[in-house]
Amino acid sequence: MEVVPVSVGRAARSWDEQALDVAAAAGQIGSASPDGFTAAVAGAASRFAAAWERHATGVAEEAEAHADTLREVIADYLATDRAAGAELLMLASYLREQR
Amino acid sequence: MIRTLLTLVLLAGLGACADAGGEDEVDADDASAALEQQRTDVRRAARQLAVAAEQALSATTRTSSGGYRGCESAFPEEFRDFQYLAQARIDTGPGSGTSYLEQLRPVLEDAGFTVEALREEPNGFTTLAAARGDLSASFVHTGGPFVGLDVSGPCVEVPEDQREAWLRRDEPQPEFR
Amino acid sequence: MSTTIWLPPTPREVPPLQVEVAAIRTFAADLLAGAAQVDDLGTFVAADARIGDWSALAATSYRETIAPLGHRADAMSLALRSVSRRCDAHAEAMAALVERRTTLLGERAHLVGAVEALAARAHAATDTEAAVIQAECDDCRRQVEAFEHDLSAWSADLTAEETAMREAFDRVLRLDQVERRYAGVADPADAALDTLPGPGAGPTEVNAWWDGLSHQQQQAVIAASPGSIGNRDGVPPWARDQANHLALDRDLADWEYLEQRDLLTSDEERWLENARSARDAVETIEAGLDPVTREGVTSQLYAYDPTAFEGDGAVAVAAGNLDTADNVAVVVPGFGTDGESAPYQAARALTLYESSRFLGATETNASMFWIGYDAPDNMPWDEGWDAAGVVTEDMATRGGERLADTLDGLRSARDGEPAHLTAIGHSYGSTTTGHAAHDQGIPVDDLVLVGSPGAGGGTDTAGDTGVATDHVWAGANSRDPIANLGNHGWVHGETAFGAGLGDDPAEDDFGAHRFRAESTTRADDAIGLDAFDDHSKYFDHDTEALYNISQIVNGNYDAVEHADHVYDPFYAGVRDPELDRDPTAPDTDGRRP
Repeated sequence: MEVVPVSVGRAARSWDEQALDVAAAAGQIGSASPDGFTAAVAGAASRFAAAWERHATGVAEEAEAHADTLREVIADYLATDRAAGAELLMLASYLREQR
Repeated sequence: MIRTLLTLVLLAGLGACADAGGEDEVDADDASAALEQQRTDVRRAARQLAVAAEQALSATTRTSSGGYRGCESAFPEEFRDFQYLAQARIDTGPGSGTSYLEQLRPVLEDAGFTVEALREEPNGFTTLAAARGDLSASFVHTGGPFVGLDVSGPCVEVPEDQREAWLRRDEPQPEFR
Repeated sequence: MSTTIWLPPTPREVPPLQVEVAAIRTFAADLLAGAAQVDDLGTFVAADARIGDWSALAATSYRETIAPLGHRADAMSLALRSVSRRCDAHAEAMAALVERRTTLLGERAHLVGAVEALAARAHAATDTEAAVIQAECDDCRRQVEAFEHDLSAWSADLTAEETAMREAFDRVLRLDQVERRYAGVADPADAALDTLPGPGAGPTEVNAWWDGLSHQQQQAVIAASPGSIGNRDGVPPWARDQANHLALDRDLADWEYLEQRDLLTSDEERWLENARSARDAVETIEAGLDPVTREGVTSQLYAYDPTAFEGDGAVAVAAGNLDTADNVAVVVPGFGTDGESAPYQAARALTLYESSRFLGATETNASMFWIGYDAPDNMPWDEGWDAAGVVTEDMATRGGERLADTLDGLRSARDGEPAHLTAIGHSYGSTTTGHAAHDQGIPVDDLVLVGSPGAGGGTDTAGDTGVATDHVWAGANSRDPIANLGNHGWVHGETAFGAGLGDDPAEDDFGAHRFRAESTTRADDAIGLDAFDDHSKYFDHDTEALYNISQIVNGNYDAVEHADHVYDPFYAGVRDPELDRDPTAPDTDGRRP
């Protein structure tokens, strides 16, 4: 099995952060109030906000999936016993999802 | 170096006083009740005066605003007391002038206010000020085709530990348009 | 009477228009904040997510897998950004339509009155009066027709605008529409950001860069990378305001999302508090009405960095428009200030704005509080002895560098007529301002030091500030214990052992104009703890200090009320002639009954 550098662990954590950030953005878009628009526009605004909340949520879920994929790569690598010493410890620390 | 020590002693002394609660004898419930009642009174008066002014001048209330404002500052960065202030702009159309203010005298009197003489400000504004109990109200002409309306209550002291909350209190805008 | 008079028709009712322009702008801001976040994801996928030092076969597969997400994020960001901008334009258009409707309402009310009056006169008219009244009726009829024409045009414009807005929403409702329209489209921000001057560049260079961008590029940079320009001196205030609002909205959404899930770190808790304080500061200013126009006071979020200074935060908010105001004042607060102080500082900026507008109604103003340096913020009894920094000049020296950059930035970003610019330092902020003036040189017209514990080491006289001595001002309440801390007399030992903050600018030897700054609610004497409150009253309404500061800000020097200086005779202690003068309460807002 080929070497998995520690940067893979850092990237997994960054994917987690991106997933949280975009999920928050999805909530912000979805909760944008269309009440300020006139009645002729408010319906379209509301539909737009709801649709884009779904789009952004989908992106956040994809980001989270990439984080999980990288953690699986790390886990497989650690299981081969090729990682050793400090590198092993560092990589292992990224196996756990921080938040 | 003497000034260093002096500063520290002064600050420490003030801190000890703050820790001990100082001389703060303001009742939190009383202060809250007074300010909330004031909000109700000021908004009601502002709405009454704005509607009556609209009718008297065939005018339209264009902007309105209301909220708690700090009155007097206290050390180091806070307000000791607060009042509720409601403000509005009532559009009167082109050609209006200070004569409009005299037409508003009956509006104030009908609302139970005692009205002062028309006041010329050094900046060219003209103010018609009035009072009813501890409420103050004034119509002001600043030169444009509108009159301004200000209504406020007295400053009410709040306990030290609630000063920050009153400063940041989120109030919905009054509906007196 | 037998003559027939043809009366003009009663004009049609103006239809109701239920719209909240501010809420539309908020909707647009929410979309733009979302766009910025998605844009960040696109940037991440194109750079750090690629894991350059991972060379395994699996890495190649991984990179191929993530690439489509990056492209989609880029396209989504552009689409959202576009709709957000359209919403902003819609808000502008609706504001204009509301304005036109108000005019139509007034015209209609006038015409209805005229028609009714003519009807009454016609009813009672004699034959000899009929011709005159008919002529007036004909004239009124023409006015009604003109009104009807305007009303029809207004209705048509409203319908067209509503249709255009709906179409903008529907054009990119689904992701396949987004892909078709925006996939592979270059972000105009990318080329612009490639040429952004480096961190060492001065405000003039940054401003030249900004002015060299097209409007489309400027808008794209604000949306794609608000952090790059929100705190960059030389970028115009309007653009910083937009960028910082975007960053603020995004931060609030992000950290409140984590807060709801109990995932906030302790650092993020502080940053969230700073972000909320910045939001509250903006709301505090915008709750005010301009004393002259009676329109809402506008604000500009000129600086926003909730993570600055180890979590103390940096924030600056202006009441009024820094891009266009005739008179601009920058207030530098001092002791006890950090990001969470923003709402109180905003209240002060608002009182200064109201007062300077009230006292100089023919000119425009902007007053900004600036928490752009690491001030001694912690009260010793609250969070330990961090406040001990207040007795040394280190923070003021570093803050002075930042303040000088800020003032240079305001000057260089200004198009057209330069503002009358006044720097006002309060408390430890006066020491900081003194250092900015003495150490760096500042491009101000007037320099005001109030409640000053000292103008900073090296500044023994007004001339040492580099500002024309006739434009250096000091305000000191006779009871204010902190204003009494500055050095007096012939000894200038302010920096002995690194302690002390310099000379008292209200003293005769210093050579500044001293203006009246007493308060009618001042403490009985300068000894008790009550006197500390007098250190905080300089920006309260109806005080001598606010009145005089406002006159200086407006350049209305003849109206400034001068006070006799503090002096320190060799045969006795320090004397303040203001101690025994009866304070006054000049009107600064017109709201006194």
